[in-house]
Amino acid sequence: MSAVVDERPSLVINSKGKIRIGNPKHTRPFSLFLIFFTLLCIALLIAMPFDWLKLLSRIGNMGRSLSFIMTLDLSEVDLVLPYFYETLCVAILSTIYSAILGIFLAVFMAKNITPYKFLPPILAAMFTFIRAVPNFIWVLLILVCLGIGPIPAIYGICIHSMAFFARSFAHSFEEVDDGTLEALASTGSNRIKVFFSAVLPSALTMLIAWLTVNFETNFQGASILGMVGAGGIGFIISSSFGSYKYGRAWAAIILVVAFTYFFEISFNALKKRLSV
Amino acid sequence: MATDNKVSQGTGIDEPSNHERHTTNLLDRIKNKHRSTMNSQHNNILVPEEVKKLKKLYNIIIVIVLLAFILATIQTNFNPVIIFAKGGNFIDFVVNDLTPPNFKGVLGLGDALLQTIAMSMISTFFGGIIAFCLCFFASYQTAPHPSTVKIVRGFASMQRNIPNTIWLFIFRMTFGIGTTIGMVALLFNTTGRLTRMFAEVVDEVGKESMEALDSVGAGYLKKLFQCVIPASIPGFVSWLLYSAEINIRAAGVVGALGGGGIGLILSSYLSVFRYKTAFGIILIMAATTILVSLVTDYLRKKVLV
Repeated sequence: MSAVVDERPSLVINSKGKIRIGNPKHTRPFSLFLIFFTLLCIALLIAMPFDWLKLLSRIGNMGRSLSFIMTLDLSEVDLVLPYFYETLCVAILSTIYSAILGIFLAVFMAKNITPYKFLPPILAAMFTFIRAVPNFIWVLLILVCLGIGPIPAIYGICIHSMAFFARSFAHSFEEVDDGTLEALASTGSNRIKVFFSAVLPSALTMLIAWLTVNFETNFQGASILGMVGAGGIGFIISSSFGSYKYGRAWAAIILVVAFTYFFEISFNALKKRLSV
Repeated sequence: MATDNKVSQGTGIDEPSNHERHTTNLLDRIKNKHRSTMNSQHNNILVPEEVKKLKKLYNIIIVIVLLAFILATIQTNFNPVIIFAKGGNFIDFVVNDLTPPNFKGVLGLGDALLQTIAMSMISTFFGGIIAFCLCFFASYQTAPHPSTVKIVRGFASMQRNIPNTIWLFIFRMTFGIGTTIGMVALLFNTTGRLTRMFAEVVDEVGKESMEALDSVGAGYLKKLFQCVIPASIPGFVSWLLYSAEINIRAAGVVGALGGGGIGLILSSYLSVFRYKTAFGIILIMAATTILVSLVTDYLRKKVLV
């Protein structure tokens, strides 16, 4: 068999004398990673005091409590709808304001069009920090200053998604062809003209994609904020659970899920249209 | 050239030649136009009708967004400069109450941090295993029966679209507060997301290689283990890393609402108005998140060459 190997070195032969299909050079990192990840998780499972026994013992109760919980009561939908509308408003306003701020900041953050070369790394570090703190916690902090209601929710989500927009918009701006920028600059157009006539139009499809992705995240974020007193459908969900009105809570949850699903479908249709 | 010569040799009447030239020019132009439209279909250069359509679509989008903006502003009475009107309040809060961050005197901080990390990693791990088993039923290429695709995908998108905090609420009713509940809530969301993404990865695996295996008479399991799984492992690993990053972000919020870990400590300090300590915990959370995302970025570059 060894003679065969010498003649055709491109074939790797395993210990049984069969030709190996997979290339070990490519598969080794994956298997190493998966083994390491499995070991880490097993170690964490052993180290952490997860109450598996308690969980298993309560699973018997689950059927009974599910039969309590699984009731749908549509009689109080008229009470749920205004809160849903408020959540929707929070998501819309925070997305729009943060997109405007995000475009403005992305101009300074994109390496190819920034007027000051020292700004991009500073802004990138700042936005990494802002993004690392969940929007829920930004809302909690702003709630302290501005009081209860939907307005701190808008500010809190806005801060978080502004960082998201600045980063992703800057990334899309950087993908614009350098030749186009140079050509426009050579005709004597200034930075603002270059931005509005070359950078923005060519990144527009990407921007719309980022906007819709972020709107979905913001909507989901806004739908839980009511649980801490920032208004919206989260308030009705948590208070219904608190007062054992599970039917109303499920009506609210189904409303949230249905809206997310509807938005996803309509966005996919739009994406098909826009890509021509 | 030949026609030109003829004309110049002739009686000097230019009309026919001009006419001829004109018609040839027109023909050329039509030909060129046709060619350019033909090209445009290949090079993605838009012809005017498509541009008009696209512009109409953009206008509709802009109108919808503006309408939504106006309605939302009326509903919430939101005024973006209100934060400057209350600016004194805000600056006072940041300068006096929030900073400097306090890292001392937090009981069980290291333990809680470890719990949060364990929560997110273990939910990613089990979510990955469950999604790995389910994704073959959810992919159009490998599903044993077309109906399983719809069932599994519908189930997965239900799991994915319910925010994990709402899952937490549902489980809290049944099992009470604790790290285990946070883990289970994260697990549900992760399973849904990963099933959907894994199925898409399997869908992308080349149909031709499946056909090649079919033609040599390979059975269903052989096709799965020899072709589909090896080819889709890079995609699986990439989504697993992404999911780990998402989960460590979500674990903080889930924890704050009763899932245990560092989020619970943070919300308890916030509720007793000890903002300096809370800010210290927020900084630690942010540092953990950034560290995990750096590690996943590194692994993505290292493993997924």
